[in-house]
Amino acid sequence: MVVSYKCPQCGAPMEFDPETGKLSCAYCGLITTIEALEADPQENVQFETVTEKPETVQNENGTFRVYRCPSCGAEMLTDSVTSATVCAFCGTPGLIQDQLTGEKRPTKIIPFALTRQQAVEEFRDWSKGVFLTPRNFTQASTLEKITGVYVPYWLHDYRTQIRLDAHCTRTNVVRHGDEETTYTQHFNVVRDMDVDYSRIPTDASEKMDDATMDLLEPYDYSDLKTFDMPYLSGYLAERFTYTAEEMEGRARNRARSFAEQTARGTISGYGSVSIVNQQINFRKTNEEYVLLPVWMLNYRFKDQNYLLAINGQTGKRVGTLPVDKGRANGVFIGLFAGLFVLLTLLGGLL
Amino acid sequence: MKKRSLFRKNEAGRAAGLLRRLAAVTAILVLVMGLCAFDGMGQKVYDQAGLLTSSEQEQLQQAAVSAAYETSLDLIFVTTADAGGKSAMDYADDFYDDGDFGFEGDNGSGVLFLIDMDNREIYLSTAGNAIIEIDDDEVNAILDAAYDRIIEGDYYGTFTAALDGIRYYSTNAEHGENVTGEYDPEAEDYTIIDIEPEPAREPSFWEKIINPVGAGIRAIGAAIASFFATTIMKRRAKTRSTINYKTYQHGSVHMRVQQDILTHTTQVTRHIQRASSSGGGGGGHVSSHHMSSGGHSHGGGGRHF
Repeated sequence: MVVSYKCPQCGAPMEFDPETGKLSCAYCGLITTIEALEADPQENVQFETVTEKPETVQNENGTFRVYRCPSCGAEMLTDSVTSATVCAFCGTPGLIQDQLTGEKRPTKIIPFALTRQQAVEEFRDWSKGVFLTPRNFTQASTLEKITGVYVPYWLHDYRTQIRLDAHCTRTNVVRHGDEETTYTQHFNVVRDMDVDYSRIPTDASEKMDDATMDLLEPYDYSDLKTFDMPYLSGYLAERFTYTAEEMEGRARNRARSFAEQTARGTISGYGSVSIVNQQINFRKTNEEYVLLPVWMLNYRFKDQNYLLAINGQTGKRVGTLPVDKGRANGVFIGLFAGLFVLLTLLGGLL
Repeated sequence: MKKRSLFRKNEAGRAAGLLRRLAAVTAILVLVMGLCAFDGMGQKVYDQAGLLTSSEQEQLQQAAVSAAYETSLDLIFVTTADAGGKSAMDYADDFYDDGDFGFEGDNGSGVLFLIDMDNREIYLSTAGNAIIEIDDDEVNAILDAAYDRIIEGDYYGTFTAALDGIRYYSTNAEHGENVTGEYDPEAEDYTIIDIEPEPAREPSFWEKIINPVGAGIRAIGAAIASFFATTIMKRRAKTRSTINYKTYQHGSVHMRVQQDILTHTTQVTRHIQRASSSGGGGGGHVSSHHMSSGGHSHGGGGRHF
């Protein structure tokens, strides 16, 4: 079933607006809260159920489910994890309800806080500070391709108990005339502590690169809202590919690394520290399935794909901007020549 | 007739003329001596420690005076058994300052050679022109020669070795090129002036630009700076993590066990090797000098025995 929210006033599709945190109509400008929409679904909102059970098609790119756009009736091809999409023909948002219910329903969501235009500006500013990006990178035609994606995350809570046994030394040197004596004190050091971790995120999408997603952190969890489907209107969204159990290992690794650093940080004042034994226990206290907002740009330059992302809540920029080697060499030669002339003109100091 | 009488007159006048000439020469000599103010009759050997026999003192006195005319330096030889708490350098400098020594006059040019039995040190103090004429290397050479004698207990030999060295090194072609000086008879002081090493001719602007070494250094500098600039630009193209181990920590750490127990102490002793010699100075002829407590410049050096 595909769901689309329609303007109660003019019937045009409504999208979630990061600036107001409400749904707005692109045509008549009506703004309405999500609560108001859901309060009276029969009157104010028009759900369109086009297909109960989607057909599937297979082509060289994989298996796709075929839905029909509730507005224009065109085919909407989605893969097995798509939960929100936009009609390629008329731009109407389409939410795939069966990917958002039951176990697949996220408990919480951080809605987009950065508008598309703000995200484009972020990319442009970022590129300005680098100078070496290809010339067409900052063109509107490139940057307008950014897509707002709600990425599925698991948030893991752990209570960890970590114990370190360490051999530590402290030395001092005493001199008597020509005799130098080095005294080394040896310590048996033990630390056993509990540390709680809350909401360690792991990205649950197969398509997203873990390293890139980790760099998007931190999200400000105080903006976490109870999940509601209208938040996804106008954006792409996926449901998790990996279950919480499958992400457990990665989450634990992160918790382990944090706990190790915390425990290690409590051993101080020694000249040398060598950990003899380390034990760590995890107790899972909670896990949540949430959607977090990301502005994405896939950019192809000289046969290489660049995945650039901006945190849809905080605006943090992630990824490696493409560097145009020709331009980099040009900048290098220009700088070199300029500096050489400058140094020479400064009275031929050398 | 006339010729005869003239001749006779000459006979008598000849003796008188001879006398006059002698007087004139003596007067000139006295005048010259007075001008150079060198007291050839003054005491040059002060054997306060009684290390020399009287005939040795006599011979050394004569040798010192004749060497003084040869070198235009007042040569003083001193022994002491009690330096009065002074270092050998201070004792030698003060002895020279207080003794009205100097070839040109008080505090003029001269050399004082001291055997200090109190500090067990031989010391060569130079003043005035001697500071310039006997450079640091030469001071060491004289001390080398004297040291060979003093360790044998041959005090007279020590002085004669020093005397020969002073005579040779003060008149040879080598001298300290870093200093110059002048005696002022009115102030009765010899002023030592440090000469700045002659600055190399400043190359012209175009010479600097064409100079391949300079251009090379500039090119390397510019290349390094440009490389850093582009590297920084490339780095800015990347992003780094902005979370740390505390980002997801909830609440504070609860410490169950925290112990730091001193188990034992180990100790390692080693012997420190001291540097046996301090490195010598660079090339070139250099005379170093210092100010004595009397406010006069002295050069020289000493050696313990």
